[in-house]
Amino acid sequence: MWRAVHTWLGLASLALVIVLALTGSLLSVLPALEKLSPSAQSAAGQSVADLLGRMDLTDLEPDRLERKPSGIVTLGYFDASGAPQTSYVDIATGKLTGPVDPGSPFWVSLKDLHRALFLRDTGRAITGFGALALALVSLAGVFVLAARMGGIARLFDRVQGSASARWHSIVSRIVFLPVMLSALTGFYMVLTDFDVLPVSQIESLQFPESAQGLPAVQPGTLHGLADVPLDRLMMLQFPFAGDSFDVFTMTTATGLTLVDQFTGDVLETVPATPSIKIHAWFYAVHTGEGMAIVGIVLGLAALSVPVLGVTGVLIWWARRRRKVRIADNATAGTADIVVLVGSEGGSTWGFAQSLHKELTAEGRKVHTGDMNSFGPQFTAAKHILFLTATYGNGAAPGNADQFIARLADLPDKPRWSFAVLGFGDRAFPHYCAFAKDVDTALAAQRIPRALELELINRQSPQAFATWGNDLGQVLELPLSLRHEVELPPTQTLTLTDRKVYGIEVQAPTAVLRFRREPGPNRGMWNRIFGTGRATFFEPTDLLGILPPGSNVPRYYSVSSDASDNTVEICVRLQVGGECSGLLHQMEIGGQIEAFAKENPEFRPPPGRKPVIMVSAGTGIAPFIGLVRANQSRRPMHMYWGGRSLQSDFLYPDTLEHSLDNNHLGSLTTAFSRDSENAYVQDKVRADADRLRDMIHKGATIMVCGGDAMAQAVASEFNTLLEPLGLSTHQMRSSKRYLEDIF
Amino acid sequence: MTTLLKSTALAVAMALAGPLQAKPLTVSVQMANFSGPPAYAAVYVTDPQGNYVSTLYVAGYKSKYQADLRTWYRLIRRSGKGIDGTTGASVGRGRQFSTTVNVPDNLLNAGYNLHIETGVEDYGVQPDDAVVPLDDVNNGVAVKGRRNVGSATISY
Repeated sequence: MWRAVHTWLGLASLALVIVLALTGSLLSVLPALEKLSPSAQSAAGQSVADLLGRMDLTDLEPDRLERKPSGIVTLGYFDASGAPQTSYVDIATGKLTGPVDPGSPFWVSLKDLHRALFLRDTGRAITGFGALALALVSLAGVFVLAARMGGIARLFDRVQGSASARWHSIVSRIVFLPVMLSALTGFYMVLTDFDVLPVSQIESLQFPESAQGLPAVQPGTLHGLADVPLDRLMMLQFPFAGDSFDVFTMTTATGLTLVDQFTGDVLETVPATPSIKIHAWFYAVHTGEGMAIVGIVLGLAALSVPVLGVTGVLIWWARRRRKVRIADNATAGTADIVVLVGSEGGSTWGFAQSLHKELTAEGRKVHTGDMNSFGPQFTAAKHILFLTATYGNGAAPGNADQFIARLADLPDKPRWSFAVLGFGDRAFPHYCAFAKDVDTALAAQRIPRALELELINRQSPQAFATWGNDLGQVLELPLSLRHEVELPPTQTLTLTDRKVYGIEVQAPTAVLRFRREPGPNRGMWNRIFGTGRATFFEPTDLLGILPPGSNVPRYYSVSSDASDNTVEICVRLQVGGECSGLLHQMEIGGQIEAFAKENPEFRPPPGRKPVIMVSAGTGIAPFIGLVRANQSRRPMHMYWGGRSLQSDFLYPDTLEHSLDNNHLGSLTTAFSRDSENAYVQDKVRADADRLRDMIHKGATIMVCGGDAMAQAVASEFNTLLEPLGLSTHQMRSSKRYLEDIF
Repeated sequence: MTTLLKSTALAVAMALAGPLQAKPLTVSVQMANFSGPPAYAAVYVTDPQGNYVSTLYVAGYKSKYQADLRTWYRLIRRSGKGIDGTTGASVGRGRQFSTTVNVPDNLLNAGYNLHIETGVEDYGVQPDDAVVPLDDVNNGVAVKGRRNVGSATISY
């Protein structure tokens, strides 16, 4: 619901809101410029009458004396020929110093464009709609972000996802308050303009009259005007020439004062009503008049609106593009196999599509739909397969959030059996949490299980194929699920350098350096707007390598930094490993096809707080990249485990160099086949006090390596975190315990 | 609604004047080429003593700007009556507007005057921008305005 409001209202008002934001942003500098102008003078220590006494008002018909919050004083009058004029007033001398510059046509037009799009009242109504739309879209955005992050309390956690999604949420969190303030005050001003919210004290004004016609009096001598300090004046309205009933009407922030034009007596004071005070405050905030700094802050914040608009459209477009069309979709009542998907147009739909296609090719009637469409309508179904991702902090994806409730409402015990396949990333807390919930909920209804719950880490096509084999046995179909992930365009890399370690300890590990062949550089565009298609490498990014004849990429962490045109990876030769074998045999000058994949979730938070890096074997690669890029000498402390110092100590030169110039704060190694016979988790345990101290100071822990090692390390950290009242679970939630497991 | 307002507009005048015959009176105003945004204007009638009788027309919808036409407003206050009359859009420079009301015969040729007070945002207010006596001499004759009004014509 909030997402629909955010998306559709946002798209509908996009162009209008961008025009309002950009024009508003430009106009926001006006109050500051005005304050700097020579006409802005201090009025301290003198009254309205003092200034009037210095002014020569003969030969002209004064209409109104105005003082702007910037200190500029102007007199509106009719000259001898009756033409209306406005002039600046020099407070010191009382002289008129020249006609008020109405502003260059540029500023005048800009103001009109911002207020009414050159369309007068119609345009004013449209801009009012734009302001309201901006406020509603911003508010809805908070709820969308909260849902994405897993609750209001997590609103300020680190954001995951594509570059546009990250920019969108990071920028919006910074500018939410000022943009909301601009939007609401703007909308309010339109409402008052149309009298929807009346701002007036006319009802309480008695319109008194000067007591009797007397000979004209110099206004500077009127005591009613001498009692008001000039710096509190907003406007003084002179009586009409020749109208002896008329009075001086003086407006200040506190209200109206009406002064007899002959005696100077105060005839009536009308305190400003709450509506007038609110209007004055909203007006000042929105325009920055009298609050030049506020104006500039709001103006800068408004500059973010086009950024948010563009990234928002890109997010929307990417989501649309990901929407998968299911061919040959059987109706719910006739399908013997039903595939229900929990994913908002994400990659999970791609897997469902592959499954649907394969099952249909085997002659089964298959219906694929949203998990929220679940109900008793699947009367012919023998099996229902649930493919679901997990949203935010372990919650259901948007199209599956009704599922558990609908399952509980099922009238009869169904005749079908179920299987749940979860999709997620093991590096996150709450890995496949919703898939587990679904599996548990179905089992609790005593619905027969066709297959055990299976979880797919990082869209692994291999794991999907394995699950397909299991499913094929249940269905008695020769099912071979080939899920083809849509791969980004690749580039050619040429091997320029290789070092092999660990042969003596049966752990052949190659550090390979490639040169990137020049090609069309779409890097910056992808960097800003793409979804994991970077062609520049940040430390911890992944290099996806396609072995010839394969469309299943293998991912390796990049150990080079972004500074040059080379890419370095670290590859352990796997027994029977197709890709690692190929890479190990590659000669200098050999070429491969590869692409970059961002790994933004495995990056230390910005700042200078310590980073604890724990890895074993080739898990060192992303940390080497981080250390190489650590120009700011942030305290980084590395714990690494290998087999033998003499044989598989990776990157010895880089590490030594980094320790020398403080890019790396400390290095603690563990070698399992040397005399110490230690693993990296042993070193973590031994250093408990030191690590606790760093964690207490806000350190982030990053772990990279195999599953067993990661579990052993997590268990050591849990033990040492206990005295701090912390756990790895809590630290994962606050994104201070990051894992990259392979 | 317009008709209803117009008939109530002069109800007071008619009550004062007694049950006499009325005839339609049209006020046509040609605005001058003044500076600034569209003008607000109040078209109203005073009796021979200068007391407020009735408002025939107000150009400009927003009450906070209407109140800037303060001679008109003050006369209404002094009379103890409320604002009456038809309201229309504010009028830009060089534009025209007109309004037609039923006027009792005894208001004509009896010293009653039609007043037009105008105001332009940031350019000041002009009371009695045009004053036209409601009499046969001025019937169909364009009377020159002082500032924002180019000319005003009554016809009946």
